[in-house]
Amino acid sequence: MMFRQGGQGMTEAGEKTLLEVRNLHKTYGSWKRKPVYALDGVSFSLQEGCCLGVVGESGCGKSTLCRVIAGIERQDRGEVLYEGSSMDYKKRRNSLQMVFQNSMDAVNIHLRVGDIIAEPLENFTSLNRTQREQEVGRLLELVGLSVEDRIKYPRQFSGGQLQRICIARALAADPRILLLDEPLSSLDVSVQAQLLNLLWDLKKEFKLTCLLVSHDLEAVYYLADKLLVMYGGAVVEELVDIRDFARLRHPYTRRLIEAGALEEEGWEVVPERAGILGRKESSGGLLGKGCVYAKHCPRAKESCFERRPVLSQWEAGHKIACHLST
Amino acid sequence: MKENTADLLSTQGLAVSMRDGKELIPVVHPCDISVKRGGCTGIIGESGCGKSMICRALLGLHAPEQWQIGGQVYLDGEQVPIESDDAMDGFRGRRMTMILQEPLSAFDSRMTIGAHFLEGCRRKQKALRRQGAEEWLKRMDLQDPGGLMKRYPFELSGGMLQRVMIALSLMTEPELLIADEPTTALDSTVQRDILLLLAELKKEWNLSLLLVSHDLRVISRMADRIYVMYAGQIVEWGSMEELMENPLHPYTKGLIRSRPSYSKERLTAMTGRPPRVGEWMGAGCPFAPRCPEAAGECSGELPELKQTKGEHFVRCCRQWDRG
Repeated sequence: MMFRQGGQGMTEAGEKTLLEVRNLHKTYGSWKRKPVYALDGVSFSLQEGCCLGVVGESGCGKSTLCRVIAGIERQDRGEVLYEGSSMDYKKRRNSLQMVFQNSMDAVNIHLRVGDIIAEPLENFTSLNRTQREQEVGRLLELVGLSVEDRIKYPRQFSGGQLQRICIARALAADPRILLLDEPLSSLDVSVQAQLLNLLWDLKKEFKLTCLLVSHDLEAVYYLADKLLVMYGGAVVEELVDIRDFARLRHPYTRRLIEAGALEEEGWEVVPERAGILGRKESSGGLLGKGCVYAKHCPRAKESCFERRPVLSQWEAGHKIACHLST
Repeated sequence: MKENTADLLSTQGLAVSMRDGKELIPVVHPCDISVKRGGCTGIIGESGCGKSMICRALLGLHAPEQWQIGGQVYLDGEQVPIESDDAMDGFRGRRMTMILQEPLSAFDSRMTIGAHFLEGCRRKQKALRRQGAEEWLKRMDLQDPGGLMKRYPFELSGGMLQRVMIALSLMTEPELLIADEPTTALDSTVQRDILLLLAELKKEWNLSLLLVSHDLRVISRMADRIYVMYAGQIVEWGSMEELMENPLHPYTKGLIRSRPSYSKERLTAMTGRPPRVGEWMGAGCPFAPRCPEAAGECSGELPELKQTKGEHFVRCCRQWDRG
């Protein structure tokens, strides 16, 4: 174990850093409107074979993070480094693949499934037609569908099956990094479990490096090795080993955990009510002063509104951005 | 007709079928559900299992040209005229109200929040109505109700809108609130707030709730009686404690096991998918193709909903003797 300069956290010796994100900023909006700070100085590093889970509620910038890394959106400031050098999207398209939340919108409904999965093969490999067909069959079986499904159209599949097809398409390019943007929401519980197991198997088999974005802390815990908690466009807590889950201590993370564990105690005791008006403003960070969570934080002090806490080391493998924890 | 006064709402053979030309496609098979007075009944199942159809049928919201509704609904011992639109006026929105899954699409985007309230209670005087609405919004923990009344639905977040919807549906002081996936579209933190609010309201006004969800955690936290639905049928029902501690139907067990709960152990997921509407033609148990415990007898005929012990009924021929 060693510490690296520059606040990029720990990397285990022998594990290569595949993706590094430095101080990413992204603002939406025009000169007319108040800008929304979707990403506000996000930094992290992703090691080879590691799965990073990003949790946070809607509007916290987790999808923007995914899209910036994938090159769909351009950042305002900051860098995305791939193997230590700046990301060249023209050359690197096949090393990064993304799975989107809404599978029906992510595929061309007029194409057969076989053609959907073969598209990355056409673009990135020199396989001929028969080889491609074989590969498509292999991929379909890999994600738990049958070879005969390749002549069907997306409309003939259920949401869960279509998400499998999207995963197969992403894997077709043989990516180094897989970006999963809420792959499970909008699916039924039993289908979610099936997909979680599929991703689990794929991760084990191919040592996939992936970025899993979700609002479901339990699903993230199941798949991820490393955890990033985001709020208002900023990282509020980072945990290198997700099994140290009990150590999470940022007030927002605690709230997130409590919300997930509905059946646990503390239900009868009505907790501090987060101010309900102004929730909308919490999507995207507020510029400048103060902690992003201060407005909703039950334990916020005066200093929380004045100074922005920096993500700093709390203990080995655990970083937190909170005045109350330093 | 007065009967069984412990239950506020009860249905007898409530069934929903879709008209397809001259054919009838069963969507919800005859089911008997009940809600205790001041209690909360939960219906759980995957999408397409007919749980929302039950909610709509209870309020008589199905267009008769497309749907055929069978069976009777009793509210407080009184039969609810679900077939007649005019006669439903006294029930729908007055004694039974409903909150919907997608808060944004449930509102008219061209009307302010205030206008929604004023539309809901035409008879009272305007000032009184406004005051009442603001009071209700305040009760929902919403700040600045006066300003809120002037805003449009798209200006509010999902959690706020869901609160406004609860306020709207409670304004007429109904006896029964039907909540159809009230928290599905919301973040987990907001979900918790909304559920807490519902739990509080239930306690405070002795409100009866019919809660529909696909999330077992939500149901098990709120409900005192749970119905598990699969392919338009109730496959198991019982009191919350009994069902959660001693689930009998393989589908219920599968549902419970499907959720990861802060562990890295491999999940035991159910294979396959539920049958679509009209796919299952009534021969054998609809769950048999996916069931890990299925045997030859399962493909014979449809098992009945049989009592195992106390308030616990299961529709699985392999479980009757085990309860």
